[in-house]
Amino acid sequence: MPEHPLAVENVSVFYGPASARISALSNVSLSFRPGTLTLVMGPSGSGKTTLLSVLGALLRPDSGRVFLDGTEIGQLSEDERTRLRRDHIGFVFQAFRLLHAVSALENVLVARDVRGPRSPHDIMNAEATLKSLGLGGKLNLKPDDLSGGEKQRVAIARALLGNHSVLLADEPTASLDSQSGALIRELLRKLSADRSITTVVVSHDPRWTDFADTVVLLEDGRVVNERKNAK
Amino acid sequence: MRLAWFNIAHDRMRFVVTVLGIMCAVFLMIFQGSMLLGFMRAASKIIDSTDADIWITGRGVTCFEFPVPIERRLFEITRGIPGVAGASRISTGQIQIRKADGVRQQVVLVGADSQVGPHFPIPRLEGTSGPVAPDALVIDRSNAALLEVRGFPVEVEANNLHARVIGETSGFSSFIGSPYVFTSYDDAAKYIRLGPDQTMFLLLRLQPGVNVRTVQGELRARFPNVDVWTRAEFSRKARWYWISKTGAGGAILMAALLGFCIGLAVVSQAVYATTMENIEEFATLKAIGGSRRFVTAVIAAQAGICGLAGYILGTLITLPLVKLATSSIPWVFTPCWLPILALVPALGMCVLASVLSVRAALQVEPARVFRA
Repeated sequence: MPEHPLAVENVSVFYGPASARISALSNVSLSFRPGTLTLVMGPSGSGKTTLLSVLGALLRPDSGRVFLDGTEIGQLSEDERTRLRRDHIGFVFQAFRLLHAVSALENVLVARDVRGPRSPHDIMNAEATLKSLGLGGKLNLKPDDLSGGEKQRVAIARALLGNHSVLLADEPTASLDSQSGALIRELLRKLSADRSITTVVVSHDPRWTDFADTVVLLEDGRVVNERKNAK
Repeated sequence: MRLAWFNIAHDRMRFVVTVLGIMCAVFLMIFQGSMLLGFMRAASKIIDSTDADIWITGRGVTCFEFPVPIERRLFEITRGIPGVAGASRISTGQIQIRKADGVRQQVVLVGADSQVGPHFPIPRLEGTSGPVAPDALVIDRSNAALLEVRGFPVEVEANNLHARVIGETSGFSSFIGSPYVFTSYDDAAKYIRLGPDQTMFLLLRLQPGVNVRTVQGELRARFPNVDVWTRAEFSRKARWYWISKTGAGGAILMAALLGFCIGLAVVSQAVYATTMENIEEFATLKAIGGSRRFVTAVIAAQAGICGLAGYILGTLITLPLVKLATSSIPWVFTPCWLPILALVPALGMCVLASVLSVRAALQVEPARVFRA
């Protein structure tokens, strides 16, 4: 059993047919400490997003083991992995992935809806979360009426509403201007520490380095460097 | 449900078109259903209006409109059968009525003895149980304009013999083109020139407590050259004949089925297009923990909302339109349960329409959420 609740052990992932197999991850072993932000960097095609998919129980590794809160998630069924994502993992995507037909508030509450019927408390909680992220005046605006930074904050609020232990962010600032990007970086770092969330951020952007507790460098599907930042 | 509604409401024009499509489908189904039920009811209306327990017809007679003469002596004989309380006769045939303007109109003349039942139209001098008026005719209200009857009595000629239209009834509009005209049995025999030894239908009323099947069996054994039916059997036989043998029932059923198919195509197309338009969002829902059930429920709810809205509108427009249609098709009949029953195929088409969409949404790979 790994030391930390989120970990991968000797994980390998391959794409393509057996005759022309491409290795996306090769024997990767990593462990992620609660309350920290880990930055995964690397050039395009280095396996960053594949690693995030494996950690998020969206992709089953071809070999190796993935642990989340003591559960070996590689062996779980599709439905079990869906439940695991619902109960343990929050996601933030580069393209925001908000539902275009509903308001900011409803977008956040969707994270509650997938668990079952919402309560008035859930609505108050969602409103409070959005307000805490500076979106108090934009609860009823639809994604098309929000700026990129605002959309990403809505996405973060959606990820936070489930009180997840893990937050996985894929290039969360890539679609944002520098000011909004800085805001999101600070926000994720603070949330990780304050709420003891295990946060993994995949990014090309070197400005993340200063906000990360650990920086992992991937190349050709292998971990070539893992560095802990002194705080 | 909330998400389903937002998805639909986001593209209002598509929602409106979908609802209109379903509304048309529901209209077609209810209207054609009303046609079919009305047609069936009309096909056996005369039979059902009698209070006879048993009908005796010529061999092979399939409905009231195409009788075969039977021997008149059966009228006397059957009255002596144990258990028989009374017998009466009905005759029918095509005759020509010469209207006031001199134009001749083909009609189906129906003449019955006065004991056939209180709901059967007989030209009586007064009330429903008084003496039968001689040379008198009763028409259905829906045919008054056709027969140029604007008040009573109206002098006419029936097969060149004098007659008077003295009253009207309702609910006996004909579905075969020629209007029904009612008279007494004796006058009908005179107008259609029925032979003195012939009659067409014998109707028997049984004594209370007598088993109909027993008497029917005895009659069949004693009179093998005629058919002996209970009233319900003959009624069913007549309905089945007109529905199946004439193709009318098939045509009406086909139109109702067509309505269902149109609705199915419209709602399928709309729900599928909405789902595929939002397929990335379904991937997101799955990624953040939306179960198969949740995704299915969202799509089914989208289809259900469209179906329900279309059903309500379809029902609302159908009822006045059916009422309007009765001016030209008087026998159309919409029982109150028919619109309620139409909810089943309306929602059924939505469920069917969701199948492809649900399949597409469930197959979408949640890992695609990481693609920019």
